[in-house]
Amino acid sequence: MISPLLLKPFLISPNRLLLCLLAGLSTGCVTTTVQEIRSAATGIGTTESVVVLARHDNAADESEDDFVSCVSGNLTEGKNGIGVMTEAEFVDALFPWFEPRTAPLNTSDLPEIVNQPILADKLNSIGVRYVIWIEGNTHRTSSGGAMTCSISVTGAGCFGFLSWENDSSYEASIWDIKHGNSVGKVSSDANGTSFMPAVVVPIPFIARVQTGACNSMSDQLKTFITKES
Amino acid sequence: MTSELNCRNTESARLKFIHRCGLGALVALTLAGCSGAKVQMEGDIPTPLVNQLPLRIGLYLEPALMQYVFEEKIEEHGDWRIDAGPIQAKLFKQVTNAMFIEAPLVDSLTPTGVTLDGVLAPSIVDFQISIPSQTRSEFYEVWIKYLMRLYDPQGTLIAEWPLTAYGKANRGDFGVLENSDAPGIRNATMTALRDAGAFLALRFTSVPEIRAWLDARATVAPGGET
Repeated sequence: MISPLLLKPFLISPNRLLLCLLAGLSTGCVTTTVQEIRSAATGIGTTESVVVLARHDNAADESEDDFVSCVSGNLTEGKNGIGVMTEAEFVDALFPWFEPRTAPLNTSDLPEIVNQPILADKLNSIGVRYVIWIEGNTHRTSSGGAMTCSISVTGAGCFGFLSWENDSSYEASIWDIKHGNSVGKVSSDANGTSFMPAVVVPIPFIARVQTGACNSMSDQLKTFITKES
Repeated sequence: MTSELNCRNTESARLKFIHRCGLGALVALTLAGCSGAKVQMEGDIPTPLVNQLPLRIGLYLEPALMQYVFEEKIEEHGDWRIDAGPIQAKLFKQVTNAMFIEAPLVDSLTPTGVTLDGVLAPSIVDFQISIPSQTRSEFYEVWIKYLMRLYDPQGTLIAEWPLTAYGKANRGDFGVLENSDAPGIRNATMTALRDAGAFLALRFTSVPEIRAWLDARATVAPGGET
């Protein structure tokens, strides 16, 4: 238990508050690795777009919504940004063919979809050329340390040290809807350790592991799709 | 703020304040422990992209379906209530309007004053949920078992088949500080409803009795029209 008298000067000092806010923005280190496997040539027209979808058939490996949104958002950015249709818009437009239990699992299932005139017309009208299936997730691999916080009528404070390690592992399979084949895969792995020392005020140093994996994957996907090879 | 200043004045006030803080914390902890959710299902079902069958099928939605409410008390995890009745009309109207050339709502299994090839009557026979704390997973899950019945215009049963729908929602997709119970179970239910619509639209003609009925109609009246 920390004495409230010790807490008071820390809590009211604007300089210290600013210091804490700046420290809160600090991040831990993240290591990322990206790999790609190309099995066919790619390229995208100015009127064509892509859609990033999460696989929902395997609960253990299901990607988080925010990771899919992050990749989708990043693909549109920058000078080599590409057109992206949101997951919700795409599955609604193609309902009921891309629902969790009806979506094609392999490219061998694609002809059944793209060869139906009603679906082919819809795909042409929405302009989606590539479907990017994302699998994988981020999880905590280890954690340690201890922190005690107390609150009293004159203030509050914490003391201790916490650390934890997160690991991200994602794989994107890219399908060419126009030709009904798989054109390749991009995988992104990241890990990093976050820590939070606390002497009265906890100061988090968060390793943004998932964001690191997202940024690396997005950059690689943009190059993969736009590079005509 | 006023109460905090008062607390500093006297020892008795301080004790009162601590007591109140303790009580507040206890209430907050109790509320946090008693989870549960009360959800009114709302939202839109997209129009299915399927080839229309040359059939005029009336849609009969029984009152029990339209007023369907799922309720369950899960020990240590509160009361769960999902009002899934009103959205059934939206779901089945949207799906059958895309599946058939005509799919009017009818008020009985043998409607009069309208020319139909059959009447479709869905009903819910089972509804189950599971929450992350029960399964030690990250998912809210919903299973809905419908019993679908297709009658001819005279009220004779043509086909009866189960339609099992499943939906899940990841707790991790909600904010750390957000109570994910209501949005989680709502999203899982909506996914299950879409799943029901998807399987009805895609598998209708795969039901053996319906396949046989359609084949018989094609033999009697080429083009499938009565």
